[in-house]
Amino acid sequence: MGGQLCGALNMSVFALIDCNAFYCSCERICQPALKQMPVVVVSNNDGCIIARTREAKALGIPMGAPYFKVRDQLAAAGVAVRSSNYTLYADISNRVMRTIAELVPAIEVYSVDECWADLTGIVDLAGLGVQIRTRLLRDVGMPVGVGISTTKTLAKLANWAAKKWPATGGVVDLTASARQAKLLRIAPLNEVWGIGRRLAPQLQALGMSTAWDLAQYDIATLRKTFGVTLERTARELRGESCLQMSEGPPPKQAICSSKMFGHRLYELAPIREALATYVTRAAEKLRSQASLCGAIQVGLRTQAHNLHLPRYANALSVALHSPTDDTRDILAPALRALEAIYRPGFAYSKCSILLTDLSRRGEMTMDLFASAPRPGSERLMAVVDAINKREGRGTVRLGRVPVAPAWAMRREMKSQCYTTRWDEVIGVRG
Amino acid sequence: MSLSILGRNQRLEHLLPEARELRITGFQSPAEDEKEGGLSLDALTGLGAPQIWVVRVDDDTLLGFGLYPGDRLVVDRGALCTHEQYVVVDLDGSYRVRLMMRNEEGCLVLRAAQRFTPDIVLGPEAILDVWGAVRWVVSYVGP
Repeated sequence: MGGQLCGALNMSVFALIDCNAFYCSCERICQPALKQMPVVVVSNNDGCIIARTREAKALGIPMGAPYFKVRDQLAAAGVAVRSSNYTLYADISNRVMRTIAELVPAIEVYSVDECWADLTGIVDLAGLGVQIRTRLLRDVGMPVGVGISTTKTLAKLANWAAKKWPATGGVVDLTASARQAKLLRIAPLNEVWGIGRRLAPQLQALGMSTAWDLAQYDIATLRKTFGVTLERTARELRGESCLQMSEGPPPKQAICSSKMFGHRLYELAPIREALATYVTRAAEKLRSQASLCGAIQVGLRTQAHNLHLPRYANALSVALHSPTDDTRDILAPALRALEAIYRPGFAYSKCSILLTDLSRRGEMTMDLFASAPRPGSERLMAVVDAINKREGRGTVRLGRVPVAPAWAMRREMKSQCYTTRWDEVIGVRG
Repeated sequence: MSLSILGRNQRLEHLLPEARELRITGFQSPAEDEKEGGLSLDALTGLGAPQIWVVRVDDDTLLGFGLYPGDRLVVDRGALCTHEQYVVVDLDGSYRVRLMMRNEEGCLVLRAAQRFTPDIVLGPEAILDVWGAVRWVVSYVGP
């Protein structure tokens, strides 16, 4: 008994904290009327369903369904529909993560709505899980599920159980091996972290149907047939921790900014404006991770799925004279590339900019024969970013970037920026 | 070891005592040591903390509490709610400001700013979900 306790103390313990229907919950926090009705959130350009509350799910509205196909069904069932409001979601995500960070020894933000926490050495695991849930409900209003176990893959499965069975109260402590075995036997394969729609049928063909079957399968065969990733998943299901808390994601190797236009564009002029806007955004991302880019790729395309209209898609890569993070030095070659691939007569739906060949400042040797970089560029960009951060995005911008472009994405059902703009905050009455 | 080679003028400058050491400039003052950062409304109200939210008074229904249309209220959602304070509650799908108090029988009462709105009296067993406690009022009184 003493030895067992000792082992338990040395064991790593992970928690996965995952927000319930995150986008929908954000909308509900700021619009209390939505708490009494099913809610869905649709993607950019009001394209398809990307988030559903439990009630909307129960109505049989599939994830990813094109909005125009389910519009009538949603209206008939009294479902509230919102366009995605990423400004709001980012702020609430930030509140959620900071609240969790106060309560646990270490956290690793995994995505906008979920994070890992290191709970190694905590005595009352379930108690802490309940505390995290209660604090988030009180301080932010965000419902979450907490899954706790000895490996990341098991913690993720515990989180699934916490959401699936309301009787758990949203917290599942899966550190005891007897409980692990019990859950593995009832968890279907496709609920295991990393097993997607493509892999599940292949495993089923080998006679596996539950997480338990995968954990018990011959490790060497798994490695030979499917590679080390699946081997690691199987080991983690057995309670053998292979994935540690990471020290934060490595800087991105490429940065992309691309959005659909609100309606089709035919002329070059508005597409140039759009590209200038996307380049501005991409260069901001580049500077925020303190990288420089050495090459860019500009893409332009018509709608892919409309078979009745002439289709065209092209992309052009350009190497820059020297690595830079200056919006102006990226935009000029990007516009030249756009002009080179633009063909009149097509109905364009999307353009994109991809910044590649990323390096860190001071990491590379300057080209002896390249023209000297613009003087003061680094300071100018820092000032522009600082002003835009304080006064709002787009306060200082290049002349080519319009304030309210005609080609902007459609977000007709978008809610206000309740937490980031003084004149759009939540309203109260007597 | 580091070695720096100084030009002629620099060599002379190098021999002069540092202006800072002499403390003789017109603007230098001993108050420098006591310098502090400016006043911050964030620090005062807690704005920026995850549990602090800002709401806005939509109409004149809160005049009875001295809250005017357009006033911004700083709400602490993490606060422990006690009586005798303004709270934001969700009543039938909209956020309302009420004065939380205790009546003679010891029951919690939610009182509205307008006299004709009846009190909501909570029995001893009732569970009330308070959205947050109003902590500060930001009011524009200029022209």
